[in-house]
This record gives sequence, structure tokens and C-alpha cells, in this order.
Amino acid sequence: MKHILLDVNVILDLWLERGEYQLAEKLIEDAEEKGVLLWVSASSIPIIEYVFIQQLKKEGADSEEAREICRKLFELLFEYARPLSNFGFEQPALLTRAVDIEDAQIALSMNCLHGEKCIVTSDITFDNLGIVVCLTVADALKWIDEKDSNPKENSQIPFIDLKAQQDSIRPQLEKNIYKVLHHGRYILGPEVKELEKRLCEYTRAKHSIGVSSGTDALLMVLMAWDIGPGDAVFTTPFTFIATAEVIQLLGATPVFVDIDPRTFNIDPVKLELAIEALRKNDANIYPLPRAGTSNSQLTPKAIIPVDLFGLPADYDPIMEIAGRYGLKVLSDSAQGLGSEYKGKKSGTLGHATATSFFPAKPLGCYGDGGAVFTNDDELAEILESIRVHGKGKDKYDNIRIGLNARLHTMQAAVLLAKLDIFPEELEIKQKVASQYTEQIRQQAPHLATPYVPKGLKSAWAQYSVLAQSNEERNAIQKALKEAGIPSMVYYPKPLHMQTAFSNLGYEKDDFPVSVGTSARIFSLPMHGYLKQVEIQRITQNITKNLLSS
Amino acid sequence: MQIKAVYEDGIIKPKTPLKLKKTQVEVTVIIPDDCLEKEKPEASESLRQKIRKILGKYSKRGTASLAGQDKKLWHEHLVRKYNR
Repeated sequence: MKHILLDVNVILDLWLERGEYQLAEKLIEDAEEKGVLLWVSASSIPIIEYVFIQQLKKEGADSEEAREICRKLFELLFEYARPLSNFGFEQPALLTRAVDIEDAQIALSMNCLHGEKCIVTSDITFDNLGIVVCLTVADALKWIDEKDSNPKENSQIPFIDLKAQQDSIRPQLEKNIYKVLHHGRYILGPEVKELEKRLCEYTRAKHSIGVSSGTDALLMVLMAWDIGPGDAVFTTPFTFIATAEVIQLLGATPVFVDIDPRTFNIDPVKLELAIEALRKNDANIYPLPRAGTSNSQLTPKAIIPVDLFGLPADYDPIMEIAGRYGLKVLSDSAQGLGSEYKGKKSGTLGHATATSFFPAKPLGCYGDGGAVFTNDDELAEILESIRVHGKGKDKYDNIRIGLNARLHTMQAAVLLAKLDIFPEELEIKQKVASQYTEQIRQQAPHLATPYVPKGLKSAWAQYSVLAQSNEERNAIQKALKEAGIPSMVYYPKPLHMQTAFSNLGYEKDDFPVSVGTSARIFSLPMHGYLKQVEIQRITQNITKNLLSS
Repeated sequence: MQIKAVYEDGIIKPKTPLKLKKTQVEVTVIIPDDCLEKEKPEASESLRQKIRKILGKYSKRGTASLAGQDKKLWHEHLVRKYNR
């Protein structure tokens, strides 16, 4: 992402139609069109205000009239350019470094921004402290275009660009964080309540409970449902460990069910086979745990479908099966917030939904965080109790064993700023996914691009591609790495092959689809700030490798 | 007759089941104003037009840029303000 900071004289020229004001106007319009962020240093504002008002007074305006016009012009300016903070902690160092402290303050305010940046000024003596390049308006116009059409050949493309996202919401982020610092209600402060309310509005779930992580969100629901030793919980082995870890942590037994080869989500047909196999204690129907608690002593209690990579699991048959066998459904939508299944948003698809706000998730905070969604009033009440050490009427009245699992107020403040742009980011990611799919299908049609069944919308937590073989996957990843393009494997080893679950006695071939997928899958950079040229560079590097191998 | 119904994702469902003689019936629906997305304004004015509108009679120009003079004016102001 690129940033332009407009100096005082550029804004005054623009308002007073002086000098290169037409170019300044073009610069602002071009920047908006090409996704370059415009900024005005907070320290410039009083100077602009004073000089402009003086100018208008010279032309006959009275003070009140000039002030009102100036206020409206600032309002308009802030529709295009964001005010950039000057931090107090940076000021003492300025005294030793700056020749012109006003200029230096402006230059220093750009320190917090990531990516490429410049100050646009007509002042040739501008004191930039040597930390940021200064350009004239005319040169800045070229700078936008040059940089846009000429990305460096081997520059690193971020797998997920949290820095660009941070810059795009910086003023709101600073405001929200400042508010928490000011009111000081760090534990379950007003931001947590506000976030929960807004997430209910967004997902249309009746209840949203902010918790300390996606893992705790899963754990708390199972605790609330009283899942424990002797209980079986059905889930997929092709997921992050947290999904099954929480089952085993409570002494219950994970019973794995293989995935659909196209969606990578739990296969409902196999799910029913697994339930039947367990009920009849017959591993010939479907592979069952071979060790630990005897299968005949296990009671089927719940299903945890995972919305892998942001794509919802197939909830219609899952809920139908759950209804028939009297099972609860906990949707593991750690990656799926924002996704949709037949018009319903993630958060309303199971009896309860757990999501994660881990930084890399579709809606991520700056640390750990998570939430549970449910329409069940009783469950919501129990979850609120578990979240605070099993509290009753207050935290010193403990009616059950609970956890310390509250969402931090500071993280809620971060999430509120991110939630503002969340729907827009999802739309952009949808476009990125479509571009990837189109280009991969054209250039390498034998690679399997993500399959999104009709009526479903993915949150695109990951864009994952299936190579034809393990060797091809590894070769593609190697070529991408050499070209400065990161790729990841989610997940290299299914859970039934992990040492942590060796107590279940599963064998590698019990879940062939998961095993085969883990050997061939790889994920490409996916975020709302990927440029078209970057997508092209990524897909071309995949093709280039295929042609040379 | 008037009935209560819920609109969700393009489907209007009566709150209590209805038996109708036809499979297709035209109905009149009242949607609360606060539920409607505001329409986007038509093609917006250029930045210049917006600035001129705010400036009103003070909009004119074509003079040279005065970066040096602006700075001088500001500094003179500061001297006056703090050297009283």
C-alpha cells in the first residue's frame, strides 16, 4: 500500500486555486482511484486554518464567515485524506534532529505508516529528517503510476497483509484504543458489549459472547453441554488441532469422520456411517477409535463440523442427522465468520457456533480472541457464567467450574474498527478468489481450485489449491518461495496421525481423503489488499514452474 | 385482511400459517423506513466543484503558489501571539 501526505501548501493551493492546484486536484482523485491513501498531519491543521482564514479576511470575509468556510473545507478534505496523529513520545527526539521543527513533525508523523510513502510539497527546503521522500505534485502523480505498474520482480508478497489493513483503519483504530486507555475498563468494558451487539446484528444470531480465543469458544460450549468422559464427539481429522483438542481435554472421545474431497469439510454421508458404527460398535461400518474407552461404552453426544478455509460445512444434512440421533451441533467457524450457507450467515448454522479472532482470521484482533454465537437463551447464560469462573449472580458467587475466558476490552476495540470494513473486505476477497480461479483454470487447468457449492459463500480465510501429486505441490511451493511468494500447507498431517491423538489408535488409511488432501494441498496469499498485478505474478509463477518441470 | 409476517433474505413468511386458494397472490407490504438501505447519491460532483461551492463568492484565482509567504504569515502570527 502507498501513502501520500499532503503538506500545508498543497492544501492551501488546492483551496485557494493557486499554483499547481489543478494537479493537486488530479493527485487527490488519482490517489482515490488507485487505492493510494492520503493523509494530512495533525500538526498541519492549525497552520492551514490560520493562513486560509487570513487570506479570506483579506478578501473581505468576516472572521465567522471565514471560519465556517474553513470548517466545511476541512470536512471535505477529510473525505479524501485522513488526519495523521503526532505522537507525544516522538517529540523530544525532534529537538535534536530537526532544523525546521514544523516540517519535521509532519515528516515524523508518517513513521507509523507501513509501505511506500512520500510527502507532497511545493516547499523545496522541506525538512524531511531524511526519513521520507518529498515530491512535487507533478512528480507524485508519476510516482503513483510508476509504482503501480512496476512492482519489483522479487518483492515479497505478504501471505496476509495486516499492515495495509492497519493503515487503512488507523484513525478509527487509534480512536478506539485511546477510548479504552481513557476509560480504563480493561475487563469486559463497554467495547465488549458493543462488539457482541454488532456481531449479533451482523450474523443475526440471538446471542454473541466474546471470549478469550477460538479454542476457548469451542471448549466452553462443550463444557456447557456437559460433554465429558464416555461421550463421543464426531469431527473431521482435516482441521487445526483445537477442534479435537477440546474434546479430549474434557475427557470425551473424538470420533473422526473423513472429508468431502471437493469442499474439504466433513462428509455427511460418512458422518452417519460413523454414528451407526459407534451405535452398533461395528468398525466394519466405519473406522472407530481402537484404543482407550471401549466404543460400546461411548455415547454419541455432539458433532463439530468445521467451516474449513471459510467455506461452510454442509449444514442441511448435518442438522438433519443430528436431529435424528439427538446430537448437538457445534459449528467450528474459526475461519468462517462472514460466510453464508443458503442465505444464513455463519453464527446461526449449528446449535452453537465458535469463531476465532486470531490475527490471521477473516476478522482478526491484535492477539487472541473469539466468540460464541447461539440462539439458545439457556446456553448463552451458561456461557456467560463459564466465561467468568462459573459465576452466579456475581463473580464471588460461583455456581459451576468455569474458566477465565473473557475477551479483552482492548481486543474488542480493535475488532470494532475492523468490523467497520469487514463486509467490504469480504467482497474484495471474493473478487481476489475469482481472479485466482479464472487465471489458474486458464493457465493450469489440472490444478483443482476451491469448490464453492451453489448457495454458499466462503469467507476466504484461505485460498487453497490441490496439486496432482505431492511432488508437484512441493515443486510449486519451492518455485513460489524463490519468487518471493509465500505459500502454506493447511494441514500437513491430519489429526488422526498426530501423536496427541495416538491414544485413539486410528490408522493412517482410516481417512484416505484427508491423508491424500494433506499431501497435495497448498494455500496462496489471500487478503483484501492483493493487487491484480500481484495475483498475476503469483499465478504466472505457478505456471512457469509447471512448464519447466 | 392484515397479517403479520417476517421478511428474511428475500422470503416473506407469515407468522401464523395461512391457507390460500391460489399459489400466487399479490400482497402489499409495509417496510419500516429504518430497514431500507439509503440509495447512493447520483454521480458526484468533482472535487473542484465541491470546493467552489463551499467558497462561494470567494472562489476565484489562478495566482502563484505562496508556500514561503504562508509560512512567514504563520510565523509572524506565532510571534505576535506568544511575544505579547
